[in-house]
Amino acid sequence: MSHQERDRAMDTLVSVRGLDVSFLSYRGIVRALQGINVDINYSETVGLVGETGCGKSTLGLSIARLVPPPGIIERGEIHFEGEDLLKMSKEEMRAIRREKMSMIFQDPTTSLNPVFRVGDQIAEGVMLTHEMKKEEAMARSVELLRMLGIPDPSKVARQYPHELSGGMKQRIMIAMALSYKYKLLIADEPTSSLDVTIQAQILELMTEMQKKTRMTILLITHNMGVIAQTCDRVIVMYAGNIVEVGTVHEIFKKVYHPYTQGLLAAVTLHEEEERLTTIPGSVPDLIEIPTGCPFSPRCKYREDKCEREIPKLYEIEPGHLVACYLEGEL
Amino acid sequence: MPLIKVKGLKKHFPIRSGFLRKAKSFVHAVDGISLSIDRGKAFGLVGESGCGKTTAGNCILRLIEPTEGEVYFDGVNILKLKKEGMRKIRPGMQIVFQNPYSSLNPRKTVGKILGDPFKLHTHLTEREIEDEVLRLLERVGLGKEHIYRYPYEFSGGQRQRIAVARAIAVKSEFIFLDEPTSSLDVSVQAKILNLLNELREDFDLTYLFVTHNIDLIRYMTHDLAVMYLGKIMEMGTKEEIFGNPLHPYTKALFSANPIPDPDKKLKRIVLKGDVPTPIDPLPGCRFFKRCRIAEKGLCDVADPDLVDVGDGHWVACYKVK
Repeated sequence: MSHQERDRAMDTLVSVRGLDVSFLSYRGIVRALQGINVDINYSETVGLVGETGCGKSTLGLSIARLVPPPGIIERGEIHFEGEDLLKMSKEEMRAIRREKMSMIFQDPTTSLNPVFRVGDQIAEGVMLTHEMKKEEAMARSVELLRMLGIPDPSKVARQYPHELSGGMKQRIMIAMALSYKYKLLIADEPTSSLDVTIQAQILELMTEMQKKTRMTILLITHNMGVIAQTCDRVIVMYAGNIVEVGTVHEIFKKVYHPYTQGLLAAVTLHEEEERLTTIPGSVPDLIEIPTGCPFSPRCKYREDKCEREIPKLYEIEPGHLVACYLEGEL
Repeated sequence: MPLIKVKGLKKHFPIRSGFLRKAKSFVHAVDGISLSIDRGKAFGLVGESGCGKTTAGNCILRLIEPTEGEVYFDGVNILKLKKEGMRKIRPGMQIVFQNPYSSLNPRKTVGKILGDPFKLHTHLTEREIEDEVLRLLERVGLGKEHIYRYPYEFSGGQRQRIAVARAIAVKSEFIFLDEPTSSLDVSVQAKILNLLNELREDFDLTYLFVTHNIDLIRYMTHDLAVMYLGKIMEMGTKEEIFGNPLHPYTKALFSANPIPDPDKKLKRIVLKGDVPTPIDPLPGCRFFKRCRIAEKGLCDVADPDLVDVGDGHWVACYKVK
């Protein structure tokens, strides 16, 4: 290992190599992730963006080893602080989830248990991780809620999930995610079910907490605006593959992959323009994946080569990866 | 004369409780809104969930009966019409729903879904109807072969095309678009928006576009109104509202919208707390509790009226001069 490689390895919190995940359906095998390679560094906020069914949530779940059946992780490695999560026993994995990583899901209503008070639900995690007594843990829960700017936190802690609004419930989830010094927070569409003004509150809160705790955040979303406003780096996915990785600035200002280009054009609504730029065709079926580049059937720059072989992700500029034969000549 | 004119529209939903199911309190979903839409224009209603924007649209189409107010369609007060009169006017006023998965009957073929409006409102023969349906399919970018298929065989974007085709089927003039793209992916959304804009120009259609998405409103409409808890806070031409937002709520709402450009970091005006309940609201401005410039003794006493501040710009705020 050279110096450079070692330095890089030390910065990496999560390193995914050759990850294949499939779901078995009655129609055949759905290849949700195909040979994913990606690194996530310490203390950064990484955005994972793509359209419905591109595999972004599956990648998030894979890192926590929570892919639900009938999904299976077929092959690959997921290194977390240098250790392969896929080789761990269930017990070891539980310990990792308890002490090292945390998750927030899109719908806070289904993530909270409706029959327990929210304070108790936060305290449960606190008791496990801090080995605290119930009273101490409850006090800590209230303290966490106060930290999140929730008015009258001791009253909220005694309420049940159905008594709280969506934004408030998502704040409870964030309180849980912050209840311990977790290394990684996987946030899967944390604000998609919320209104924009509430979304602004939650994102502000997450950014603030990230600054204080230096936690690494993997933010899964389909909203390019959210990505631009909160992330350091961006991973763009399409049909089970990563197509582009770069700093937020590079992805938005110097895009190399035709799909990312199309995605950005579709969200940039300029009043002056008569028509919006669209991507022709539709997302491929993940059971019958086209050979070659998954985007090739919809790509206007398609060449013969694109249809034969999947382009590998390579570094086109320092820190900017792209999986395309065009070499950036859009 | 505007195609659609709404005056003092109110919709209060009763909350019944107790043995006799007596209405104890009311949800003030829409609480006195007035607006007008010129023919061939797109009017936007924007606001957060629960602000009453969809209820307002449903009342304007008379899909639900408003509690109070007047709705004029082409000069006729439709709330005064009897069933038969309403039936005559229906083909002119159509709707596209948010979720194309629940708005198309799963047991009917596309041919039937699109053919039914012709059966109800015209005297065309089966043969002529089929021609009309094929013409519609082509117009919205679907193929001839789709006529015998069922909704489940289509993707979300294609289903929304079918819903749009149904809305424009029989001489429609006015379409209420209720979050027509919020269940679609962005690349699909762009296609539907292009289609809607083309159709508006080709058939001189008038749109009421309801959404919580600020970018969409900006792209799709000519005039807009910002709603908050059943009231219009600000209304005017798109250029005015976006170029010079005056109401503190409009400002906060626009500032919360994440811009897809990392160089334009937001200066968010973060609103404190949640949207208050629309059940029997307190007197005074609806935005009072979350407003940064609210003045006690002024804003919490009586509701501010929507006042013309010039250049076709209306604001409901005491503090805006």
